[in-house]
Amino acid sequence: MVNLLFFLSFFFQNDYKYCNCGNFEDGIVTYQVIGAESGCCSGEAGEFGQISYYEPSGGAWKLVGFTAVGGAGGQEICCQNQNS
Amino acid sequence: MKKIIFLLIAITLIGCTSENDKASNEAPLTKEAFKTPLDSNVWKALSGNQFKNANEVFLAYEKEKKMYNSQLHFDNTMSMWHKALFNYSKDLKIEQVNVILNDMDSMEFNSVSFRTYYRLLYHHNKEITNYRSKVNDFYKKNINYLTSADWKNVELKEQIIKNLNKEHFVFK
Repeated sequence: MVNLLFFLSFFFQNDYKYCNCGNFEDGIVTYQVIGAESGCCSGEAGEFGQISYYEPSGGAWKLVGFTAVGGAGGQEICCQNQNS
Repeated sequence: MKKIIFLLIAITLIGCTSENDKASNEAPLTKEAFKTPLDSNVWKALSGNQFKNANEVFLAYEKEKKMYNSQLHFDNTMSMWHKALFNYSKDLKIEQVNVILNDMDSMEFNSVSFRTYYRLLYHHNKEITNYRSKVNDFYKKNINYLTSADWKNVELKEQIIKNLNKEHFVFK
């Protein structure tokens, strides 16, 4: 039984999907949804979510900072006007 | 008269060339090319619950390092990785620590992950031979870059400078 639980916990451990939205000017939001088959806006948010900030550098965008927002926060930002 | 006409043509041509240069300098910034892909293992490392141990994270980092051809794309994704390595800094082996420190030293700027740099030095200070010079060089490089950088997000820049000074203060 313990072995079965261990196997199941390992199996579900990797069952995440990562979603994102936003742009380089304002920041790109990336967050975690539980269940690889879940939709970004319909699935349950995982713990991880952050906004990545970029600044122009040499004709491209250079990553300069992060803010943690949690999975639910990221999902809220990205899914305000959609249900996919 | 011919000389004057020749001079006018030359001035016009120089003007056109500098306009072209200006146009190429003002070309739109590359967008998606430097965004970290969603299938990168760095997201798993950042979420903190999908790798068994520090060694597993380091191996995933080493594997992914070889995937990026563009320096900036490499820098952006590696910055993410360096941030993710923060939580594993104590458990990494000294050989792994040296690889990561060298990678971070080779980058022009590390604002995203300087906490990891300081944390690696803190946990492995007895094993790192040029520990003191690493501390000072890293600080100098980043504070010089930050103070001269012209960012649109001034608030973020000030916060990063404050954090850098706070981290460095511990090592003074």
